[in-house]
Amino acid sequence: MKHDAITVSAGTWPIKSHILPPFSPIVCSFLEALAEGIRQDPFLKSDTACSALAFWLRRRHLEYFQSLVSAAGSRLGRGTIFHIAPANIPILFAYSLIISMLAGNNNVVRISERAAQSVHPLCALIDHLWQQPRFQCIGQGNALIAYDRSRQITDSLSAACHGRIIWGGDESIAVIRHSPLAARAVELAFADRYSLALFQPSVMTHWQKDEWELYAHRFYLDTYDMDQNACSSPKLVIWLPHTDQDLTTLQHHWWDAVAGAAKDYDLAPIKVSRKYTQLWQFAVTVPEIKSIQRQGNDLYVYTLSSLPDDITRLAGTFGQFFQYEAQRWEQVISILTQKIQTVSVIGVPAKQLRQAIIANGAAGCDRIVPTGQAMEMHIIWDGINMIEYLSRVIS
Amino acid sequence: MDYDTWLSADPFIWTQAEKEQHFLLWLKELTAYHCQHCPPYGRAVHLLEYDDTNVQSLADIPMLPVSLFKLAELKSIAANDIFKVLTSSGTSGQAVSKIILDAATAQHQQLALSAIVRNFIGPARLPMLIVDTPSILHDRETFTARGAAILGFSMFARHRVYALTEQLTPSMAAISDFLQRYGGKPFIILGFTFMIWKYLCLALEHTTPHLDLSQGIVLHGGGWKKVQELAVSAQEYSARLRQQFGITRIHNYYGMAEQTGSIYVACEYGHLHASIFSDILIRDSRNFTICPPGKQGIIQVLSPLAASYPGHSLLTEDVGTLLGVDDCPCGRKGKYFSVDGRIPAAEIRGCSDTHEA
Repeated sequence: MKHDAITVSAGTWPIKSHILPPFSPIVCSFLEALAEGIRQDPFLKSDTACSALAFWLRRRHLEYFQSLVSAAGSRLGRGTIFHIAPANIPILFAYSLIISMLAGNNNVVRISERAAQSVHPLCALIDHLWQQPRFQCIGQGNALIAYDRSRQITDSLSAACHGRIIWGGDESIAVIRHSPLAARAVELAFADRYSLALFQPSVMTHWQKDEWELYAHRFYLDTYDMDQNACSSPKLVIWLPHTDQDLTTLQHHWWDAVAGAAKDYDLAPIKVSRKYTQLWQFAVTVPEIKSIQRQGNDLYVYTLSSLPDDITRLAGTFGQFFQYEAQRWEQVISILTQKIQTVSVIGVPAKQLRQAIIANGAAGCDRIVPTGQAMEMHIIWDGINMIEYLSRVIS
Repeated sequence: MDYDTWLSADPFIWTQAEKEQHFLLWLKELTAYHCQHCPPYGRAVHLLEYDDTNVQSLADIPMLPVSLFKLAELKSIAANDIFKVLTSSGTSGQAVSKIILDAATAQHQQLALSAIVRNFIGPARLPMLIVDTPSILHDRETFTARGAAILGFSMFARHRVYALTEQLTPSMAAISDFLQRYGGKPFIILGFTFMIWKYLCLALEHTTPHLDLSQGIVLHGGGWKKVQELAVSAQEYSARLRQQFGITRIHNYYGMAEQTGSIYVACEYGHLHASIFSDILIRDSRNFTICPPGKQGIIQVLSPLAASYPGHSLLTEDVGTLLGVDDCPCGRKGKYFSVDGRIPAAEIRGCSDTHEA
């Protein structure tokens, strides 16, 4: 297989297959070295996304992931996984690669041209490690590549792999699916999703200043930190019914705290321009909006009098939130359609929500996290244990 | 408001204070008018908690983001009063702005354009050398902002000649013929900024002797994206036209389909001037406070000409700097400013729209 148009930024092309069991010692020691390499590099260390990755790779955390894999001792990787990584969250390529490596696979990761520049330092570190003799075997079994739009290359990589992971919008996924997989190959397609937050106001009534700041900061990390563009970032806040105090006062308090947390947000002029256009677009096209509160251009909050049939239309970016006061608990369950991915919660026990979802057979919500963890990558994503899915059990 | 006196006045006669006195009243009236006649606009203005009685200055008039015309049809007239629908691709090249005009608005915009341009080139209709290809007007598929600009300015022309061939190379026969007939007296050279640079200056760089275009008055504007790719400063641009072709009268203009007519033309000092038909405000992007002279911000344009659609106060996607008020050495009153380009498209994060297959 010869492709002039492929550029390789790390690893070996074409790869040489070394299938491993999940959580094999060599992969774990590579990941340890990767985390250490990030911490040693002043540039990577100062990059929030990279330092979060290094933290995510801590030994205890990986051990926890291992505990989530059933029949771990009887598994082996599927073979070669072809990843199509997204452009707009550049770091995601690394999580996709690492999870598949943990499952025991060889990997060909296509990094988007648009993301290539921003992830170049991390790719360079990975390549540096893979070239070391101790990691030679993984260095030969993995490649980070880039290529221009080319149906032909996507076709041949798809035909040759044992599994394909696509991160992208619904349209991108449809386009890539024109390139067929081998009969036995598996596919994971992480499509556009919508996420929301669910707040129990009664817990807030007892909050002190510190707690307002803490929770607002966590909410900031879930939203502003990725320009509120990630699928798992909440765009709608549902307030559960509140009886003992005026909810409006609490809501004001909450949004004031969020605006405070967002005061250092990098609000570039282009973001203001898009955000202000969205403000008008929502005002003109969403009849359910009852009122709009703005804190400069840092924060726009839209209060809804009712929920539209399709809540995924309520999708602002760069710090725009819709809020709605639910009438009943059942109403919350009824809006959890297939498109809903993450519900991040304050004051709502995950167990209670999970049981309600199961009891009602709700079509959506794959993930319940405390506010502050919406952006955290997990081996269970969109309801699928990726390590189990990307490995086979020898029964 | 009395349009007739206004439209026949000298376009740079008002001091800023005089302009604001008139505009404040008119733009308040127009805001109320559009709220009543364009329900989506009225709803948005209401939700943004605009209160007529709190308006102290032009800065308090609600501003509509210019891209909204790409996303929604906004008009304050009945369907059977539509005279013309202007379209503009804007920056993204994807969605199209739709600007809906009735006969009166279209006429007023023409009058304003005429008054402004004549203030710079004089009252006579002059021969016009258009630095573009003739097909720009004929080919429906490629009818763009370039074509619209040429049409808009053509009322100032006595004879129109296209300087470029279909392949965008200089049409030497047409240019020589034009110069032979009209080159001895003032004439207009009209074109997009980057077209004049690329297809005239650069294309004829090695052609000697250089063409004598010394009687030409250059009117150039538009096409920001390509101008920024050129990375040529306004000074370099003018110096080059002077050296290569002997041109001394060079006027950059700034305008947009969403406020046709009330364009901004640069004087002999290179300053873009707001006429009595429109005004500008420079906004800080963080909180939309007004920037003082010398501080760059997002340009807001205000014009009482926008009567058939709610476009009387628009937040553009351009950045600019206010240079001064009422005191340009050219003698024109009102604000003068520079346009520094499009808002830079920084990297934006997110997980949708991820892959180019």
